Amino acid sequence: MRSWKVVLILLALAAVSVVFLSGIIGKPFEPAQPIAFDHWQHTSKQGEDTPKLECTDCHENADKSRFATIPNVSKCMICHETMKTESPEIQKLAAYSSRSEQPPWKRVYWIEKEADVFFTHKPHIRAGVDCTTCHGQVNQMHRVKRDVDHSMGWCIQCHRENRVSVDCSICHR
Amino acid sequence: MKRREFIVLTGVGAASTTLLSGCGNPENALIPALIPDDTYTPGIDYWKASTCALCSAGCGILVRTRERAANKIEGNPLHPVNKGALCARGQAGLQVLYNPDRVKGPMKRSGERGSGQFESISWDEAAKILVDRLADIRAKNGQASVAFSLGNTSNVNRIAAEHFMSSFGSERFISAPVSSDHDDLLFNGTGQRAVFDIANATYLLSFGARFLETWQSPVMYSLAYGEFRRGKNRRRGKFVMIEPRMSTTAANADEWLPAAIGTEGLLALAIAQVIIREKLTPNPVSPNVANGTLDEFAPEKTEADINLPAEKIVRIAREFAASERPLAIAGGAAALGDGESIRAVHFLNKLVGNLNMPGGVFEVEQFDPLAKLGTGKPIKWAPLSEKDGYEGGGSALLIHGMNPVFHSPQMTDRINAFQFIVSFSPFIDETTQLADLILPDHSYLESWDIQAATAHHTVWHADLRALQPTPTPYAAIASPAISPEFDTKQTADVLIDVSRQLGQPLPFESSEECVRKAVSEVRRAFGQAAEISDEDWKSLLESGVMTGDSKPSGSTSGLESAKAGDQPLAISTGEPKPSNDAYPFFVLAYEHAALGYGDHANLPWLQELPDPLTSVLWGSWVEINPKTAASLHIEDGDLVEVKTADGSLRLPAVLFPAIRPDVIAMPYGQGHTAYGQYAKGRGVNPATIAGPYWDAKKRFGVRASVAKAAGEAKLVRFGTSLPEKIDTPR
Amino acid sequence: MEEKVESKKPQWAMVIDLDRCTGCEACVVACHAENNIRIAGEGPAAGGRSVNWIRVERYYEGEYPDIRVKFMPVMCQHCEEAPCEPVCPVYATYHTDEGLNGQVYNRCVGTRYCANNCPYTVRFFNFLDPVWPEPLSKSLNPEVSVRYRGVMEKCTFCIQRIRKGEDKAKDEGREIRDGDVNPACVQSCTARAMTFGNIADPTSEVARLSKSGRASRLMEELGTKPRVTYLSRGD
Repeated sequence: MRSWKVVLILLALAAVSVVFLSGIIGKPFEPAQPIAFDHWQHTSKQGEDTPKLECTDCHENADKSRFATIPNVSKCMICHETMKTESPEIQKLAAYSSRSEQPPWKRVYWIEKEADVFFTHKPHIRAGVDCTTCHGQVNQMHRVKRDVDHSMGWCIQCHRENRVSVDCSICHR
Repeated sequence: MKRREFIVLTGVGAASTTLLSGCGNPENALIPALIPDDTYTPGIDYWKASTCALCSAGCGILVRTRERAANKIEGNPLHPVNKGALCARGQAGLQVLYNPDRVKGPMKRSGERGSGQFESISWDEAAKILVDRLADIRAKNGQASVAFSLGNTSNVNRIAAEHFMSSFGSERFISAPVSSDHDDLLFNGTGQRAVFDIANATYLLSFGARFLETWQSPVMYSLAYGEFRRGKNRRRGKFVMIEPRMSTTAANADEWLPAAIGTEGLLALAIAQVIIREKLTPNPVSPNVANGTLDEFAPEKTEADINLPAEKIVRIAREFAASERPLAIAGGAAALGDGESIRAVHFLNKLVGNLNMPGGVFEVEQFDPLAKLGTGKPIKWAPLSEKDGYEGGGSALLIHGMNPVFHSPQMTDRINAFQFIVSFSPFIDETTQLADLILPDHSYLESWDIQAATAHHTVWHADLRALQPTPTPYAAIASPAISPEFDTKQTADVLIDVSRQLGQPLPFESSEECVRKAVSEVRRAFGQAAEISDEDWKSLLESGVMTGDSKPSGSTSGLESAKAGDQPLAISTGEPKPSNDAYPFFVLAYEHAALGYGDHANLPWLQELPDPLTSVLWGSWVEINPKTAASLHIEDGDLVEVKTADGSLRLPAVLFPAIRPDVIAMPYGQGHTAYGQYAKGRGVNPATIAGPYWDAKKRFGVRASVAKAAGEAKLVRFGTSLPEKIDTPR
Repeated sequence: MEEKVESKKPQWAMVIDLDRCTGCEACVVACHAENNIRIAGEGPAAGGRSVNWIRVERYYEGEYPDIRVKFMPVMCQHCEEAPCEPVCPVYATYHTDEGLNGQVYNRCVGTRYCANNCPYTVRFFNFLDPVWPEPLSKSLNPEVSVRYRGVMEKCTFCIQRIRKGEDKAKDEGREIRDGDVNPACVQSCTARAMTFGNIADPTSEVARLSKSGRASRLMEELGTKPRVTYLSRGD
């Protein structure tokens, strides 16, 4: 009897949390960033003097590390020392650089620490997963928004479809 | 928010608020850690080479760092001493680095001396105080009025201290006397060292040397022990340990012989007598004994003193001599008295002819390229126990790597007599509490250092079809594994700075430069160009080890002559017996395998590590033989009072089945009155009743009484619930 | 996609030579450091709440003066027929395809049935949240969860190091081999008493040693089929 009650309560709680979570996650999360960095302009804009960068040109550790990493300001300044220096946003960037500071970028995607998930970029890049699979069409975005719901079911579905291990200890440890 | 809290909170209807606050708050703080720079990529492990500083063995370590924090220490596989392995202490080094009780920056005393009240100051102010006070004291009292007390510290700090004192004009170095052990006694303190090829021995007799825990180089000898037991293509060696109380090392022995305390030398001579009278080795030479002839030491005549049956002694002697590669070592309680026991044990090695032989004793070849970096004048160490070393009213004491107020509380007044005390300790220990100025050193993981020595290995030589000793000179370089956690400074750099301000600059500008110069000396000694390219320097810091060419071993002159048999052995029958009615027992205060003599009592991992033989953690205890305890109506866990002529201590009793009935034993390590939250106010300090640990010549002969005391004992043990019967590995 | 489920997963196993083991407990601290094991503190430790994924058991044999001691490191035996697994109501403890006895912390609801059913007493329950006074928390391993109040924990054979070893082998485009993976206890072992590897590979050191005449498994008679093999002491 008792265990039935526990199960019922848990189910009810699960339903409540699903409602709350979907309410929050349903709205695209699109934080304002300290510098209005435009991904589209750097990757997809057509034209003669556009850089047409690959994701890993700036997020250069996606194939080496657990983290794709955010480029250091010094990396931005390789080009912007001379390019578009008249832009107020680039001037903000230059100001950070001259103070040897990093802009306080806001995270768009993260996994709660309590989820005990140890996601690692490296093996996904090694397996040829395209960045957009998990991050959406960032290359078409002017301001990055959270486009993909990184729920456990979503991870597992992809792992199943691609016949990759779905052992719990692949992600949780 | 934790999932469990979530369940609890939703249960009381607070779901919405917690959910929103939990999810609407991105972990922005993590972003800076995700930004790489020229030397660092987030999410990738960096391994930095260093040298372990938790004992004097000098094992090579690799420190794993991620996101600019150190998260694991492992042995360096390239280091010839520990070859990748690392003991419990060494692993706990992270808690030295990240200890919450570290001194966070320079401080000066703000209350009464000893009150423990200090205020933070800047390094500039600290240096100014030091310079002004030292100049003042020198002007008033002369150069010799400044003393430097230097214990276990890095070579870089030691070299800097040497130069600092020399340029200052003082030679008053005060050292912690190294506890009398094999080398000092064998070689009469000449600094020579012996190393023992345990891996290739076939029969090992240890007279009190706890080589698997604390003696000399425990990881090196543990690796050797593994080979001794189950090395490929080797017969399993037999190991016999002579010790009044079974240590963890003795627990590994095939046979444990609890000879009476202080009779190790007698037993060694009894074994020698059997070997000689039965002609068990070719050309046996009799040792020169001071009191009469060797025959007086026959097991049949000494068995009562030794308290072992003569037949057993005869059997051990026969087994030892008949074995292919026998080896005898001595330490611990065998150092009681004037060290003659150790000489007597070493005579056994001479008798079976294992000097410089595989499975025997090797004399370590000196390899000391760092000597060139020193002042060229040998340091004259004044022993800490020498009274006039501390009679310095109107003088200054600089103290580093030592805590004499804890190790020898009787010395407190003499230290307090110094007008100006400067401590370089990274922790507020008992001695630092008396300091007027605290200039906290980096932890060893934030410091520069270099060590050089000769490693001894015996390898199987395929061409010769024989074991061949191959001593190899090496140097190990330690560079900072992470940037300083607090506003601390490596002591060498402080001394460099202060010397410059005193107008006597040291011959190097920084700790790093000192190491670079030392590396040049090592390269010269290895026949390489002294200059090192940037690329080589970088790869050297990564590997941490440079090795010279192996040379077949040569000299045994030290071992042959060094007090080993030429001088008469001053061992007599009738060693100390606990005949005293007031103090019927011997108290054996021994080094705690994890906490050492108390220097590691501030590391929670080691406090919570169960003692292998008693399972006690977080406290002190005294081991009593169950029969003795029964006669005194003491039960396991009772509070007892242990008394010696010097004082008394109250601590819990542990009934210990593997100790002589006339001996009680307790570990050093606890009893701190300062030294941070994990150490302070825990257990008792045996130094107050059995003397400082370094006085091995005396302390193994201290007599005591023990009786049940009123009150509750605090004894924490790690309990397991596996029943005895499952000891099934057949 | 290159990362497919392989037909033959490595089967992890350990061999402990009790003739080499000295009882030094280097493995215990190595395990604490690698796996973010909490410091219980004196009070909770007195209440039996200290956590040791690996511990060194000690047995006295005989009477003074003819007394001998045996040491035996004990950790989760990663049983092939693990008694802890079927009793978990939420599948938080389960068997992986690499032969590990897995523990998923955020599935665990803290019934403690598993610990109750484990004959080796190697499972530890978190009665309290861990305390890491600053800056001690900086030494936490970022590759391992910090367990919280209400969940069970135990030895994982250092799953994070297994993953790292497998990742390296994949980078180099080869199968896993001896020496790629060593749990923290094996890595630190001062007498080289412990060996770890893939027992499904007949050429591996663990496969060879587990067939030794000295080999046996702890409480084999229970039918748990442990993945840890002990080699007995010689005389």
